[in-house]
Amino acid sequence: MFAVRAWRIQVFAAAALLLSNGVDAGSVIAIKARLVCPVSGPAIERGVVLIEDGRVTAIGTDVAIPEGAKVIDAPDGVVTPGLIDACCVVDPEIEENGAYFRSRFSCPDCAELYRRHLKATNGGATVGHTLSERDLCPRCRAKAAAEAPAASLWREVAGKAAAAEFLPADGTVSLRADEHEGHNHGGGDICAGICGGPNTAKDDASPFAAVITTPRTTWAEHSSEVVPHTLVVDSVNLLSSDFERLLRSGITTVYVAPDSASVIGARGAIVHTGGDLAKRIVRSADAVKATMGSDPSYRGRSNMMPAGGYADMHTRRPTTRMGVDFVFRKAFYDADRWQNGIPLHGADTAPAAAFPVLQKVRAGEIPLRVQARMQHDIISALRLAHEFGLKITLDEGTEAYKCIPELKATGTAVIYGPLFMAPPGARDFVNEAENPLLTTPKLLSEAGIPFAITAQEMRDEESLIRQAMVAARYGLPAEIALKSVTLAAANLLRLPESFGVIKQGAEADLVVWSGDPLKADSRVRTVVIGGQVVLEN
Amino acid sequence: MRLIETRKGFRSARLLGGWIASAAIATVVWADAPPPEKVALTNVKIVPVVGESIEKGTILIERGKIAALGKDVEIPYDARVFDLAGKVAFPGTIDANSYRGTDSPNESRPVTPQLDTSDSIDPSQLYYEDMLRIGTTTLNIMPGDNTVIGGIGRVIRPIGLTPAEMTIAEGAFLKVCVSPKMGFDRMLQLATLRETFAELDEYLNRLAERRYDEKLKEDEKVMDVGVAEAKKRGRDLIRAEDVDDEHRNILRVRGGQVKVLGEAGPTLFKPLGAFISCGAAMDVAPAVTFAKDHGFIDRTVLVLDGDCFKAIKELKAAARPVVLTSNLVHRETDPLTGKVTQTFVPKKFADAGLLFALTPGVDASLPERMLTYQAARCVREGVARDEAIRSVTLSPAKILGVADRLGSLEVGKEAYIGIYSGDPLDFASQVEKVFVAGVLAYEREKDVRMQRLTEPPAGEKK
Repeated sequence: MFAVRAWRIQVFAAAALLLSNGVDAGSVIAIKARLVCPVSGPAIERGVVLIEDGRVTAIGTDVAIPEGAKVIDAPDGVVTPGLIDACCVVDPEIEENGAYFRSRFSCPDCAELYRRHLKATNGGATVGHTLSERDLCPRCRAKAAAEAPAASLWREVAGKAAAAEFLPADGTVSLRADEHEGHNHGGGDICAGICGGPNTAKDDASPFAAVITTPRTTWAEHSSEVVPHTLVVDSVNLLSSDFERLLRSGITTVYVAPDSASVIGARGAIVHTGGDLAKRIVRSADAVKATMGSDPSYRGRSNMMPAGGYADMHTRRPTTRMGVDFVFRKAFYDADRWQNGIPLHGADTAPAAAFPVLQKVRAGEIPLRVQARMQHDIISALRLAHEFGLKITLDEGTEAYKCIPELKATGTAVIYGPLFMAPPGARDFVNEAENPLLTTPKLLSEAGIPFAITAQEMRDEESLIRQAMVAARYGLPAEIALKSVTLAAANLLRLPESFGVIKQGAEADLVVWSGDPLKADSRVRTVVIGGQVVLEN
Repeated sequence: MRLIETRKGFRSARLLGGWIASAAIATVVWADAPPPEKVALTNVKIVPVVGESIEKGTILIERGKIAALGKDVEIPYDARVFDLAGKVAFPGTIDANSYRGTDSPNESRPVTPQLDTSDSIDPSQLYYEDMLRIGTTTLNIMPGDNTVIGGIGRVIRPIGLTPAEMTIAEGAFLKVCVSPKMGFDRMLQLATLRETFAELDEYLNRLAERRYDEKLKEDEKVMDVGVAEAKKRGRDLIRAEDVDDEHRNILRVRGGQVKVLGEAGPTLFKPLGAFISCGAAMDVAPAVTFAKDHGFIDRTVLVLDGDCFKAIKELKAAARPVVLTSNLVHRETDPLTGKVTQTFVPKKFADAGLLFALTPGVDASLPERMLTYQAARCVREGVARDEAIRSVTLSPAKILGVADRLGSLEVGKEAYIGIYSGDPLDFASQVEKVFVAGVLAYEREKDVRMQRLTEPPAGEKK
């Protein structure tokens, strides 16, 4: 079993902030509603939930409401635990990016679309996909049309890099532009992997591709393919407006997932979407996220850019599924060699700091999650897990319906989603998994495979509760649908028993809905996190 | 074997039976027998849109029209009876502005008033089948937004093998875009628009002059008046066949009459309305002004996207019906503070008392593709339930000028009916059956493609 050692509550000395938020931690709240869904048991008609000191202290039909308690009366409303997204991709919303996108797009939706495009294409370095003007809203389209042809962030940075004098890492070949002026290649001639093919170094900045920290639009650390020693929590901007958006959809706790760009990525963090800043971080270093399939290789291939460039010593990354699996294997073998003091060699060698983490993953002390969409990627993930004796949780799992016996035999849990009509990989511009099955959650449930539903980066009409709504339309019983975004998610995140349920002693993370949460015409009325009302509308 | 359930008007479809295997309408249920003249839907909860809901009611359909509806309807002995206990009958929803189901939404040239989407409609596209599946039975197929003047649209039903068979009503609207097409800015967009309308006068003057000259020749006279007078006298001599397609549709938008030198002439063509597309609030005033200046404001429908709700004052003053794009929520970042504000757009129009229609989303978001879901979102955000329901049924019917035939379940209207497993606005409700003009066009249990989306293919079952 996974050690609960990783479980930590980070307490900041932020009392001042706490007070400035106007929070009264000792307040008592009583919520009266038409229906209380504790998730762990049957729903209670005309129930009352009493909250004291950030915990649920009573739940039932005849709960005495103490004097002075703040009463939230929702005669038509339904109370559920706060929703938990077990694999949420949060917009980092770094100030620098905000300014960059705001300068180009006036509406956040187009900015978001562009950010996702940049993320998928290494900052626009990939030729394969261009963001069409058609994808933008009319206002942004007009703005983009008025400006010069949309510059890629990559090209901008590469331009700067090319203009600068650059000293080569190995000291043997100079990259100074004047030494390459007029330097032309014959067909197939390779110039020490430096000048990038037939063009001159001045025109072709491909050697810089790996040096450039691509668009700081992702959670991926690009210094290596294997970065489990890095922590997503270091990048989380707790004040990002994306958290507000999640909060508005009734989500109170998320696992902030690392980007799928790395073969073995960073360790995710579990955070609250609102409430006391000091209590926002639930777990700072959670599961390591690895990725199978074309997300890492697609980005690896994009390093061959600009056109005419190729993968070289500076840019080498896996460019196929074979390469992805190789990097995964090598990382774990290297971890063993590292432990036994055997010297490491080869390209793709992970930084030494990664190995202690990988050893803990092997020992089962740090959980491992593997994102795989397609059937053969899921099977690859299970094969690799078997090779190294790892217990994994499957992320996304679009074609999990094709691997139900395998998942069952290995006891692998699935954090499934989002339910998406187009190939789910289209969200990352890789077009993986062309045959999503709308009834996958139902099939997982029927097979007895532990699963939670995630919305990942989807928001609003595709947010977590809407994912559960869609799953329910396609055969998942309503109570299991609700469970899959609350208690089941808490269990798969190995959160304490007090998460994802409403019961005595549970965390007071609750949502009051205007009606049945799975109904299309219901909305979030009130959100309570840690016993505080953090949203009312 | 006869594969197709046809009405008399659909006879040609029967001759094209060979197509059917490959045609998109695979889920349309075609029976062996010719269509029953009379169909009775019994024991069904009727949500008629106009008037109160009827529990356990009966709808009697005769020759594609609703002949009777209510609790006590006598069922003729020769009617085909569907017992729909526990189900809900709801009018087929209406998409007032779609550019899908066509070969291509726009021509590459900016000004193409001569085009008719009828030439672009591709009956074999899955889109039509999808529409049936979600209970949408009427589509106004319009040219897309990447244009200045895009051509005329057409109101169709999602069954039939040719655009002619699918047609419910001939195009009554010309597509006009005020927000710029790709590669254009607003100055060029509006200048092109003005130029096109101004050129019509020149064109008609030339025609008038030519006709006058010809008349002089016929009468064996020589030129007796100046050019200006000749143009004036010639205006009544212009014949319908003189006007080419491109100018005819502009002329129809202006009222269908030959108006030369400021005087009214004979009406040559049926007047045409305009769908004016506005992508931002700044487009609303130019759109309204332009329609007023050229005399077609009374036949104008505004298609609004983005932050157009900010021009609500102008829109209220213009009092024209609006079609809202699928972006029901407008999000905006304050450029200084970075704060994001959200506005639920339909609520603004409901509060302003304007007639509005919703449209479905086109991207991969599953729920937003359904008009009934879009209506449910309105209820969620505080729009009255009746009004939300109307915005996907009767309101678009009114906007498209087919409210006498479609948009509600009333005696005398055509039988475009969706049968739902429960409340149509509840996302868990499934569309069980769809009747299009009285023809049973869809049955869920026979929907092969739906099965593919919900059941693992046989080879993958384990």
